[in-house]
Amino acid sequence: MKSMEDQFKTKKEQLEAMEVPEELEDRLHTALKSRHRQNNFFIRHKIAAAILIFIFLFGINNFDVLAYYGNKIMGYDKVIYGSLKDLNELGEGQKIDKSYTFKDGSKAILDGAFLDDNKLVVMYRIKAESQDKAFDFNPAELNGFFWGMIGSGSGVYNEESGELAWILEFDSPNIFSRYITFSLTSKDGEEGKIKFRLDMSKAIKGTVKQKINKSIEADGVKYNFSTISATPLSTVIEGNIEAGSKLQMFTGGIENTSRNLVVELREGYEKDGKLITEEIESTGSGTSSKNEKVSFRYEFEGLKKDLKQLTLNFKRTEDIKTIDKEIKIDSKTKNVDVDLVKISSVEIENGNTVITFITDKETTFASGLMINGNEAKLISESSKYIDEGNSIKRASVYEGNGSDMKLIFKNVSRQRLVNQEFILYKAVN
Amino acid sequence: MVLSMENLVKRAKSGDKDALLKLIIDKKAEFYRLAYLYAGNREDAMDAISEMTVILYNKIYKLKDEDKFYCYAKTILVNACREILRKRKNIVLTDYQDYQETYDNDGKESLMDVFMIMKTLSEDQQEAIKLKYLLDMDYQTIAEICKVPVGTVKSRIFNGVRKIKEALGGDY
Repeated sequence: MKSMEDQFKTKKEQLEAMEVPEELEDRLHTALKSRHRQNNFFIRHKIAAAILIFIFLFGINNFDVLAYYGNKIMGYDKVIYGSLKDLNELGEGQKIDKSYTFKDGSKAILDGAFLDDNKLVVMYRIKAESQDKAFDFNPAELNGFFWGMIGSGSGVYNEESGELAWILEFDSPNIFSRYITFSLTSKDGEEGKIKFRLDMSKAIKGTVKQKINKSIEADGVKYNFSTISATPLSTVIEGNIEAGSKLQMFTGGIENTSRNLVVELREGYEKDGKLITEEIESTGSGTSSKNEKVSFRYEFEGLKKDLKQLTLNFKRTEDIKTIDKEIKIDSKTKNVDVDLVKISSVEIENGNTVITFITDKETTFASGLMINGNEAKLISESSKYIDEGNSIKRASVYEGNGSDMKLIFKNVSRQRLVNQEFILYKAVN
Repeated sequence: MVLSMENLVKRAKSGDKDALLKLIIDKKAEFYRLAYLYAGNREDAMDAISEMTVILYNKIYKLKDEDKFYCYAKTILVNACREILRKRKNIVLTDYQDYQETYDNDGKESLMDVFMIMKTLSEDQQEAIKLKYLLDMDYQTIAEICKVPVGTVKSRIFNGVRKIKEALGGDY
C-alpha cells in the first residue's frame, strides 16, 4: 500500500497536469467587458443628486440615537493597541451596544466605533459555540449613504470569554452617512445586519489639520507635501509627485522600475514638564495615479497630548526594478554581471549548489534556481560586508545540482539615503 | 513593456481592466486548480474564477498591500466556490470521483484508502490538508483563505494527518 505522502503526491501531480480550459480567458474578458466600478462613482459624479435624495429620503427620519460617551469599551484587551488603545482607556469611543443573533445561535455584538477625519474604526465580538465557528464569519462590511466597504483589521479569540474580538478599519464615510449598516455573513450565507447612528459631531477632533506646502527634491523627483490631518486617533499626510521624465516609475514602470519613498514622522510633546521626542509608528503608505498625476498618502498612529512639534524626515528612496532574467550557470561560472548583481561563483558542495553573489551595499535582489527544469529548494542564505563595508557578499545554498541549471532573477532594488527633514508643525507658546 | 506585479496591481486598483486580467491570466493555472479542488468540475471552477474577477474589479481598490494581491484573490475565489457549493447544497469539497476514474491502472485500491479515510475527517481538516498537500500552500496563506489563525491551521492538519496515518496502520 502506498504511503499517505505518496498518494498525495500522485494526486498533486495529476492536479498539476490538468489543463486550463481554453475558453477561460474569453470568459474573463466577457465578465469584465461591460462592468463599471460600483464604488466611488456616485460620490464623485452624483454628489449633488445624492444630497437631494438624502434630504428627501432621510432628512426627516429620526432614528434612535445610540451613541454616547464616557465609557471604555470592554473585551478587546488582546487585539487593541497604539492610539486606539489609549483613546479607549479614556472612554473616547462611541458606544453602540447592539447585537444580532444568527439562526445557529451565534451572536455578533457591535460594541462601539471611533471616528475621525481619516478613518472609522469599529469594534465587535462574535460569540459562537467554538473558536472555529467564530472564525467562519467573514470580516464585517459597512454601508452608508453612497458609501460602503469591507473592513481590514484583526481579530483575536479569547478562550476565557469564548469570544472573537474584531477591530476593523474603514475609510472615513462621507458626511451624509450618518446611519450605517453593519453586515456580517455566516458560513451558511445568513447575513446579520445591525443599523446604528454615527454621530459625526462627536468625532475625534483634529489636533493638526493644515496645509503643508513644502517640497523636497530627491533623485530626480519632486515631492510636494500638501496636507496633514492628525488627530489623537490617526495621522495622514498627503501630497503629489512631480516626476518629470521619471513619471512612469509611478504609473507603470520606467525600464520596469518603480519607486517608493520612505519617510519618518517624529513628534515632540510635553510630559511631566519634559519635552519628549518620539517616532510615530507608520500604519501604511501608498501612491496612486490618475491622468498622469501621482498622489501619495502616508498613514501613522495618532498624536500624543500636549504636542509641541511635528517633524518629517525624508529618509530614503527605494527603486525596485523588475528584470526577469534567466542565466545558465554551472560550476565554471565566475563573475557574471546581471544588472546590479554579480554572480561571483558557483560551487558544488556535498551534492548541493552554492552560489555566491556580490552587490553594492545599497542593492538587494530576488532570485531562484532551476535545476533540470524544477525549482530547487533553498537550504540556507548568509551574507557579510566586504570591500570596507561598501559591498555585500551573499551565499545561497540550494539543494542538489544538475547538468541544466538556470538562475532566475525577478527583481533588483536599490536604496539611496536622503535624510532631509522639515518641521510640519510647531506649537505657538 | 513588461510591468512588475506591483505596478500591475496599482493599475488594476485604478480601474485598469487589462492589468487586472493580466494578473489573473498570469496565474490562471493556480486559480483553476484551486477552484477545481473546491468546485469539483470545470464549469463551476470557471464560473467561480469569473465571479472572482468581477469581485476583484469592484473591490481591489481597497487592497492596501500590493504584495498580497494573489492571497487576496484566492480568498475571494474560495468564497466564490463556497457560494456555488452552497447553492448546490453541497458544502463538501470535491470528492475526487473525476480523478479516481483515471487511477484504475495505477493502484485505485490504495488511492481509495487515503481519500476514503479523508471523508471521515471534519470538513475543516479536509480543506486544510488538501490546500497544504495538493496545492502546496503555506500555513499563512491557508490561514488567510480559511479565516482562522495559523495555529488552528496547523492543528487541523496535524490532527487530520494523524487520523489518516492511524487508519492506514502506519506509525505516527
